[in-house]
Amino acid sequence: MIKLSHIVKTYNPNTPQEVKALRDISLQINKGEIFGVIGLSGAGKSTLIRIINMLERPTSGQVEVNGQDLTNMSDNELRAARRHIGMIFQNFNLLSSATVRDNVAFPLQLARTQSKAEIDKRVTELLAMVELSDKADMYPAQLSGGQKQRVGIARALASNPEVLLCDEATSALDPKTTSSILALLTSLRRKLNLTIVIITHQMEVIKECCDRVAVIDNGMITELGSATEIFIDPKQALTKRLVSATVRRGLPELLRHTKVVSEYHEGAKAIIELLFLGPKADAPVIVDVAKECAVSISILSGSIDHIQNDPFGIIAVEIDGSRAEIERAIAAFKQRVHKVEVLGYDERKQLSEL
Amino acid sequence: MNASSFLNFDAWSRIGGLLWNASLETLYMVFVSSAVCIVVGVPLGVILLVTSKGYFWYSPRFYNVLAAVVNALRSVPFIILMVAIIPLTKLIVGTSIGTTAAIVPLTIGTIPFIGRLVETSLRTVPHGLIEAAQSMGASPWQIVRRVLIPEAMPELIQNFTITIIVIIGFSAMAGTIGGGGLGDLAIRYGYMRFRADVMISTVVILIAMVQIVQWIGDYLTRMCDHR
Repeated sequence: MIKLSHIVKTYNPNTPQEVKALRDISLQINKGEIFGVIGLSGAGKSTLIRIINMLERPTSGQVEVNGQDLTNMSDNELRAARRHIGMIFQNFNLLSSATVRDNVAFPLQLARTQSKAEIDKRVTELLAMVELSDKADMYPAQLSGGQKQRVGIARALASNPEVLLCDEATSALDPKTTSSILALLTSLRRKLNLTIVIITHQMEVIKECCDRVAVIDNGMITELGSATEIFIDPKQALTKRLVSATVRRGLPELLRHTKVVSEYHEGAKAIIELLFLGPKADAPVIVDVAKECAVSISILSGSIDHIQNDPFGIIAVEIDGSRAEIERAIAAFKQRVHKVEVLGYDERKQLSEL
Repeated sequence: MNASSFLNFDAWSRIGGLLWNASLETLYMVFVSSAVCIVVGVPLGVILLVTSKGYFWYSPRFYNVLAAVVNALRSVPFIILMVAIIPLTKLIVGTSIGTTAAIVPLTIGTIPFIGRLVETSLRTVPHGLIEAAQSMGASPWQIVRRVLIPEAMPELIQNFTITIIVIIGFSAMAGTIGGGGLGDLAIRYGYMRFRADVMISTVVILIAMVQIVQWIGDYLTRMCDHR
């Protein structure tokens, strides 16, 4: 649906202020997919999304949306093509001087292809879709942030686009409103067969609704994969850092003051992290392993979460027993859960024994 | 001025006639000049804005030249401009004396002023709105007409109000070179003939005019401000 080939964007080329915003980005986004682009501020993600609808022209490279090459279009052709690419923004960018109804009608009025009655009918339909029918005659200043973004979504979808670009669309919203906007986007994707590109710095957004994710750093894509892959198995340091903001990984807080070493020594307990994913996530794994091997297992920390609708859990446990039994237990876990990681060994005493 | 001159109805009705005619002349000058200023000043402000950095017809050379001309015209004191453009006034109106003739320097003196004010007003419209309109396939003309001007309307009306008030002030000055109106009356009767009553009356009328313009401006601003 969207194909970016070797996109380079350099601001102020050949001057001391030269900024290489994007360096050779190639990306393919499939039809009906919710694709997330995550990165820190200044990584180039805002430039990247503006390249897709040519609000920023790339210095070199090719942009193809729905089979059309946007890079070589005239201004007029480009304006026509943009009507098939909706966009929503962090600051909503609604006309403060126009009512909700007029804001949603705006792109249709710009296009000048429909009669006033047709536009009215379409606007009523769109407002119902985003559940704002009762706010039609209000001005944006009278709405909450979430409602403003709903108006933004209705406006972006007015001319039946195939693609919706979301530029930090939930960054100005509280977590609850963010979830409701993301739920709306997810349901619209299904209903309208939309392809959605989401730019964000919030890993939560990726976790809640994205199918695939690209991590962008310093103008380059450093990691690309399904949302699950990125969460479960982040490879790059930046990705790990981003993921750790929403999913706590590594040594549990409980062991903050405990000496943990990476090599086994006589009498040590093993600290391991278990990663549960999908249908296996609710199996009685810990009890099974404890029964099977001569070890005692204490849970140090744990959380069960969802990536889109797939449950996944991360549990850190401490295994006490002989070296052979500990190794057997680890092997048994490896068969049962998605991933097992040995975090280290310690000689911690149970809190209850102190 | 003494008590008897204030009670002299005959004299007052004569002065009243003078004041009435002078007020009408002032209103005529102010109305026509303001109308022409707005009609020319808004496009001037739009051109200044869209050719400046960060806007869709960015052209540094064009902008710099236009901005320099605007600045130069704005730096000429109005009283000097008025005299300096007498030949042009003669060319356009046929004479350099009288109320209609005063409209020429009033307009030329105020257009750069309002042009700059319009530019600054339009600049208050957040860039994101322009970007949003572009993402919907708006043409530059549609952005000016349907985004920039409606969104900046409260500022524009405030600045039109200021401009009209400046023109009222300038129109009084135009009286000194035979432009007619309240300024002319104040100089000829109030100053040259030591008629304090005439002087005070013209000032009161001018204050009233300014007040009314400001009230109307404030009311219209409130009406169109939905932020």
